[in-house]
Amino acid sequence: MIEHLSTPLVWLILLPLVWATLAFCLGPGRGALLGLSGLGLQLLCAILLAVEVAPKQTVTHLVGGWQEPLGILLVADGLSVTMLLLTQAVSLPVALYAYSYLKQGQHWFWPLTGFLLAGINGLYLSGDLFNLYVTLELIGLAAVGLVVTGGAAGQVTAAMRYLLASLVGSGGFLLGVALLYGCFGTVSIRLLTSLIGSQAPLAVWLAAAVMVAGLLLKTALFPFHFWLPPAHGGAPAPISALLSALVVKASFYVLLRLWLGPFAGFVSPLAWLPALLGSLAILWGGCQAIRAERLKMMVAYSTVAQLGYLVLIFPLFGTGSHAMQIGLLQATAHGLAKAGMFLAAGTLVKASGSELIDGIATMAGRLPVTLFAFGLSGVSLMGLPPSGGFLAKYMLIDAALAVGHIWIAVIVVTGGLLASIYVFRVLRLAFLGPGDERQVALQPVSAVMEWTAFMLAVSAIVLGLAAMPLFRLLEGVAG
Amino acid sequence: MTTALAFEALLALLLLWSAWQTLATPQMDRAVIMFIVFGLLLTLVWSRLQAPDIALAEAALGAGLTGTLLLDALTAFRQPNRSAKHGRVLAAFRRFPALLALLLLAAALLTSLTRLPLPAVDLPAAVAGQLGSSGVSHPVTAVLLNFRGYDTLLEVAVLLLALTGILAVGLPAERPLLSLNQLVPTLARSAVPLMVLAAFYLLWAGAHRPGGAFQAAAVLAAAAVLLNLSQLQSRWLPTQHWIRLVVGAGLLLFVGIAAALLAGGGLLRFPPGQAGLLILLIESGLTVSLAVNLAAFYLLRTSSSGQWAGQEDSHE
Repeated sequence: MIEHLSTPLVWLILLPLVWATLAFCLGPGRGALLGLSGLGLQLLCAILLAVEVAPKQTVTHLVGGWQEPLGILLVADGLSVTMLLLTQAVSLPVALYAYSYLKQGQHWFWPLTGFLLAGINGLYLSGDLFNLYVTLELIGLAAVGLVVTGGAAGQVTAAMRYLLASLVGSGGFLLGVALLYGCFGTVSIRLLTSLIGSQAPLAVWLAAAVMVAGLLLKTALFPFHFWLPPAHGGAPAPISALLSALVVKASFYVLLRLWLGPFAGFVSPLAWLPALLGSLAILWGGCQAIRAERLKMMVAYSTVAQLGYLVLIFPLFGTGSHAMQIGLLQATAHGLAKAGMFLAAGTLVKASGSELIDGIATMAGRLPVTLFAFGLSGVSLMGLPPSGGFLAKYMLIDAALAVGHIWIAVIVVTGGLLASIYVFRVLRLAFLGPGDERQVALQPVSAVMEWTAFMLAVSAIVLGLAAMPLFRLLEGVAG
Repeated sequence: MTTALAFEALLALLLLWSAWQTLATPQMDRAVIMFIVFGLLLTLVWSRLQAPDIALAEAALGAGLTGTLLLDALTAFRQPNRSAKHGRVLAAFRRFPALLALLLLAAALLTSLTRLPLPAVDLPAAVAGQLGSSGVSHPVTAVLLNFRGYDTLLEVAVLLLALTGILAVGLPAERPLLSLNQLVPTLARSAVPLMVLAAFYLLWAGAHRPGGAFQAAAVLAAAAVLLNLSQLQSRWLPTQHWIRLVVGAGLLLFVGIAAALLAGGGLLRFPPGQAGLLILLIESGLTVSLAVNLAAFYLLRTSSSGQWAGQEDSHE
């Protein structure tokens, strides 16, 4: 009986649901303690699940005890466990930061974050297309609610735009699910993968088209990125960190599952298409980040660029390279580094009282820990050794050259150069910028805010030195 | 046979017409009314398609509650004589690519739907095969609460989340409503008791015929909205704790039962003997909490000062 009750996989979904609901009942600004202890337990569950999955490669749970196609199957494999670990490892320090950043104000951060994490964890564990749609709805609504936290009028506009983009994306996904159900009579991913061959009927092609388009819109891949910079750049820093590090990865994960699962038989000749969009995202996002005037807007455009790297792996599937490992390493490294960078940027903005990049002139001497966190995150985003970002980009170039895709290597190098321009622009200002005569008094910031950002940034670096466990976890995953 | 066919053809045409009217009209209030008409026509379509559960949900939620919310939003944002004629040609050019894409999608959908293969998996047969051990005899309820109860659990969370989102955006101040006040109180006094009765019937009937918690909750919520429209029920304030407690309790009860069943070997794994009772328990809890949840979408309003934050209100 105790063994049945202690299934970490199920609790990863139930825990955030429970603490989110309790925090909702407590009212605005409340529930921090509940949330933080829940997040701690979730991290423990994710680690226990990883330990359970590592030797067996897959752990499943039949909800309701019903087999597919009647019931819903929860599946954890190396891919989902990696994403679950990233999610819990990022959200705990971000929540600590938020506790210090938001205080007791009139916000609904805790219930919204709880539902967001229930949705994200549910998504990574789902083996069922309709269930994936429900989790996408949870994630989308919670993320939109979070964007308006801190509620300036501009935020409501950004949230509205985000809501519409998110709903169109889920609508496309749902249309595809309905078409697939019409063709095969099931929404189980495992059954669909075995039923759909290379000779797909028109309805399946159409389903693939609307589902991929919907997911790209939710992932904010160029040219569907229009909603991301105002939403991520304008939200309070801890929320931007959750959105940029975690939320956009969730829809990318679904895309990856579909691409390598049900649609694998007929989409592989089209792998250049997402890779092309990814290349444009890297170039466009990089240029916009260089031109940005507001600090958090720069970080948001950097997300647009970094998401591009994730889809560059698509042409490498099935070529014998470690495409899955590369993609997941990039996702993890970006998640940690971007969360660290947004938190550091939030601290800088709060301390200096200015949203502009120019506002952080000569901050290096006054907030050294935060500046160091910003710099370390930048190292990983640029792809300098020994960071996780470096290892991912290095392996990507290596794999691309091995199969003759020289253009991918060129794009990766160019993207790294663009990233170094926007990161060094900030660091140069912080260390050498003008403004020593106007020593404006800094707003006090808590040590928690400084050190959580630092910890995330350091993890992004350490990932480059200790990526082997991650690779081993992913060994059994198809692709 | 031909009469039925003619009726269906007429219904399809009316549906398309009302959809087009909703989108094409420059007047917002007309668009909202046409949206409600569209919802009612869609209700008829669902019942023609032998899907009474969806028809009930569409009538109560799609046309009824959504329509009321849209009308409410309209009174909130009413701008005098806002004309959409201005710059219409330009707007048409801008819309052209989107329209073309939609037409292409519609054409592709029609073509693929006419040549759908025969499904390889016979899910209705699988549902029928296990109906006996599901605890209920209506297949839709069996799927919603037992076979795919996990989806429903998350959907309930989505509704609670939507309410949280509304609270996070902030609420508009209370304002006078549409001028229905003369007629409605008499209607409401006789209709609301019947609606409460209907809700209980729907909840009870869900086990063996179309109905269930969502439909019952929608009817109860509609009754609360009707009471408010007829000024027999004031609006709710976010400072009223009981609203959050009732809404949260339904989800907690559902999660609690789901988790307790883990001891029996799986999340939401109902033992066949007690499945019927447990499902009725969950559905009863959900009926109350979802009714408050849905009604709160409409009834929650801030005090007249516009700042709801924390202050008890003197307006009510």
